[in-house]
Amino acid sequence: MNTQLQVTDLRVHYPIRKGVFRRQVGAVRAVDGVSFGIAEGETFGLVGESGCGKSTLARAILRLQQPTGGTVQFRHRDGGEIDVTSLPAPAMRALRRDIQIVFQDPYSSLNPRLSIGMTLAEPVRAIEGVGSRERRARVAEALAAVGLPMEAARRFPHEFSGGQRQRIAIARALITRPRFVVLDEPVSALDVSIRAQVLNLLVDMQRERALTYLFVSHDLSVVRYLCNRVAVMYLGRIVELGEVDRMFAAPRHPYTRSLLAAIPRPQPRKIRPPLGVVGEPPGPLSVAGGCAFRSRCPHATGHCAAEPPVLRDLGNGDLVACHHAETLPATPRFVAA
Amino acid sequence: MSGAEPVLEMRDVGVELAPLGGAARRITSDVDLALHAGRTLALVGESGCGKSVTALAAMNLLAPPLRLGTGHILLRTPGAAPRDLTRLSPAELRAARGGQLGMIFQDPMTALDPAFQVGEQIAESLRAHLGLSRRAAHDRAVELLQLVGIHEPERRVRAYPFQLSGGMRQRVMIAIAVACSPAVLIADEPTTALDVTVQAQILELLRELGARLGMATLLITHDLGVVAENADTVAVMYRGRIVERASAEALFTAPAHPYTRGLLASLPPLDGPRERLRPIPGQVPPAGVADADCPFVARCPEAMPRCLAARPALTAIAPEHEAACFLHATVAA
Amino acid sequence: MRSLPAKPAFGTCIILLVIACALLAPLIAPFDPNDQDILNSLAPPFSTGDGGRHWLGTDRLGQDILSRMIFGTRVALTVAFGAAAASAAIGVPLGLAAGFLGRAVESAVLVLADMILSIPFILLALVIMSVLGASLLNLVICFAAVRWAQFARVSYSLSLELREKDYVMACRAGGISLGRTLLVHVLPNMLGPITVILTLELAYAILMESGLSFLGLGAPPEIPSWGGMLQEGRDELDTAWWLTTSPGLAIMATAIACNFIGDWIRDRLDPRTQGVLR
Repeated sequence: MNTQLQVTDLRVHYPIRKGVFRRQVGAVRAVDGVSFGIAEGETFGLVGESGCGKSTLARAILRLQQPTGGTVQFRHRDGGEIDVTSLPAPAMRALRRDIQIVFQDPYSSLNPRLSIGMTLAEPVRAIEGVGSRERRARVAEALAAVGLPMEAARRFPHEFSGGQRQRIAIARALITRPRFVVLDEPVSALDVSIRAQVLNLLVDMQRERALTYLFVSHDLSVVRYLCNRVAVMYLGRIVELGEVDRMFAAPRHPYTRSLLAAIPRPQPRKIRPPLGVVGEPPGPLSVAGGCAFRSRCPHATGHCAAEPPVLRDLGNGDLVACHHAETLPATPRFVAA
Repeated sequence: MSGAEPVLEMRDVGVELAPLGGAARRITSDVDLALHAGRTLALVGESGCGKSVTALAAMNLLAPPLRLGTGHILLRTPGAAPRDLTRLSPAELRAARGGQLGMIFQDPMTALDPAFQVGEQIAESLRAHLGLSRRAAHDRAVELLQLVGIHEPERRVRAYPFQLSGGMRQRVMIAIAVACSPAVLIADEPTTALDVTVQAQILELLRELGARLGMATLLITHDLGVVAENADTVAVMYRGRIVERASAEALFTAPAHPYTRGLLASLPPLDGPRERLRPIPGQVPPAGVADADCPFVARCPEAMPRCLAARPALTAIAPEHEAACFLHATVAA
Repeated sequence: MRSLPAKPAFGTCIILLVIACALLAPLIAPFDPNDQDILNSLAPPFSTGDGGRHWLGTDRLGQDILSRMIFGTRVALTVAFGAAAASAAIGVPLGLAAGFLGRAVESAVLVLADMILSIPFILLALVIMSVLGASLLNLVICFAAVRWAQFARVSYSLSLELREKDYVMACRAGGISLGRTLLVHVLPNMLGPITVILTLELAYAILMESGLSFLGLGAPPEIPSWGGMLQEGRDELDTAWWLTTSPGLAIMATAIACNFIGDWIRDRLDPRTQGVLR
């Protein structure tokens, strides 16, 4: 299978400036050397808690945020590969029809002063050689695809509920017929019953249009439902990457384990697995050398403080960044039978 | 559900939205809830269903344009006659809140005053309700921080809210809420703003404190996972009314109301096969109650003609299990 | 349309009255504003002169105060609207540029705006007007040269807020050009607060024009203006109160009217005052 997107050693550092002359005195490493590939037609999940850098990473891939280093290779329609990070502005704008994004907040993602029809037509307008007749046709098609009536085009965002707005945002992302869509927490702001509708819509769209998804979320149950493979991020780095079913059945990194243990499950259960984690993530500034997770890890040793673990293959293609991955006790069962 | 009398009982509570110069509109109706010592009742529903205004009503804390339209709120504390919160004077009400009733909000950043050290904010409640001296209140504040699992409480007591992480701030909120050993703790989405590993720790703390202090807890949440892991009994709200009430065990193993079933079917499972989700069709309705028909009829996959003609009442369908649905009316009759 | 609350209704009435006076001045003014009737100088209100009654009295040269008041609306309005519009036309694009064009433009615009706003307006205006000379156009130029900074500051801070909106981010992600993004997605969402600043600047310009005329740096003497009338009447304050009372009240009423309308627009555009519960 072809690789649609290859991220290599991507970094996003925010400079910290001080003094009258705003001299740079350090950097927040929001994304710090992340590499992964996404296959054509795959849904790749990116999970982690707030501040782990997952949204920054997603935006850096789209160059909504200029990366500090690394490359993002995108496989073009004609089969050639281009590096998104170094593309000049006009070429980048032309490429944007192939790479789209859906944001989390359905209330801030639509311009309140534009009708839905106008909002949907905007990205089409940026494509050369599409006339107003085809633009209208595409708007109609996009509305139908996400299950909204044609007359919605004349109405304004405030006339729609959160779930309907998110459908509109999805229609806007798909209207340029992209190949790759970044979904940045697209269902996190939605009520449970609406969330399921939108998840089903995303699955249908992918099947019909052969889309490749990068799905960013903090919600592991949703990630499991939608994704083929998943990467777990902690303070700007990937700590575990692998096939989703295997990871949920037998997480290898202590952080992944605690994330999975922490999910409240909608089944009353007598036995709760130990959380295996203490406290909260330290600020990204306070990480100095060694494993970033060691301050919260019950298995941390001197080795973890001395040397940062790198992602390594444990033999089945899944990657873990932990010195003790092989020697950790077996994972507890999460659900009381 | 248990034999003892409930510590806090809401009877027939209806909240109204009465904007200045506008007509009053009912937001909730016929809400009956009973909180028992040492037990947790979860109130669950989607946005606009009326669960948060019910929490405010339980403390008689509604502020204009919201007001209590109907109902009584009975507080039974040991060694005192039952009191109706809706009939107390403002001074008595103030003494009851914070004294016998504690509350935790969703966002600890806005609920804490950024200009004061957390220790002062805890001590304020202690001095107001228990009449402790400045010195004693400070010492007690340190003990309380220890109780809610904050390390180095002697140092943290002098911290300002912005110096603490989200989870730590929520622990401080909990310390303030339980400072006067209240009989009732009301927690409105206490972990919604927190990350999942921190949420697990805070919920653990709430369970532990509830058991240790024997508090009756009302937990407001939209997260069915949080309900399953923390509640003894559950009430499901939809469009301002309770549509199902049961023990947590019964609700999750044998959900009776089509809305509850729909909510559970909307959740992506964490284990087992990944089947296509079966969401509830339609949109989440705006806040407000309607009387003519079943509130859920527009989205219900099992709607019958009679659901349009009348509104089903909350009726017992099994021991410790009530639902407001005509599907079960025939069974019960 | 719903009926207006009292304050904006009052404000609208005053402004409409001022506009009507400015448009219809030759028709409704009982006298030529520059007609001198020395025999009737300093006549009190309601006295009768050559060819009619002086409802608001006459000044030292025997010119009819009411007629000069009515013609004075023309100066007030051209200067006020011209000044506010010109300031906005310069300030808003600069504010947008500061918000969207990177750090160099940002600091250049902000430093310049801060410098200008830190000097009292009257002081700057004194310098500009004495260099350019007194004329209506120069008054407008003088206002625009200073008050653009206010619009730049406001539209810059609105830019900061709007550029973080997902729909502006979505424009970048959709390959929409910066120009179109600003014109279609950013500017329209700024109009509310900008309109409010505009009405406040109107009031400010009317006040300041009067102040400059009072100092002899505003409208030329042959054009009647409220501020000029105030200045002329200053010396007779203890003997002929009517020289200063009418223009003073007119300035106050117009400034208050603009403020009332501005406040009302601001409240109307604030989503928090639109509905009680979402």
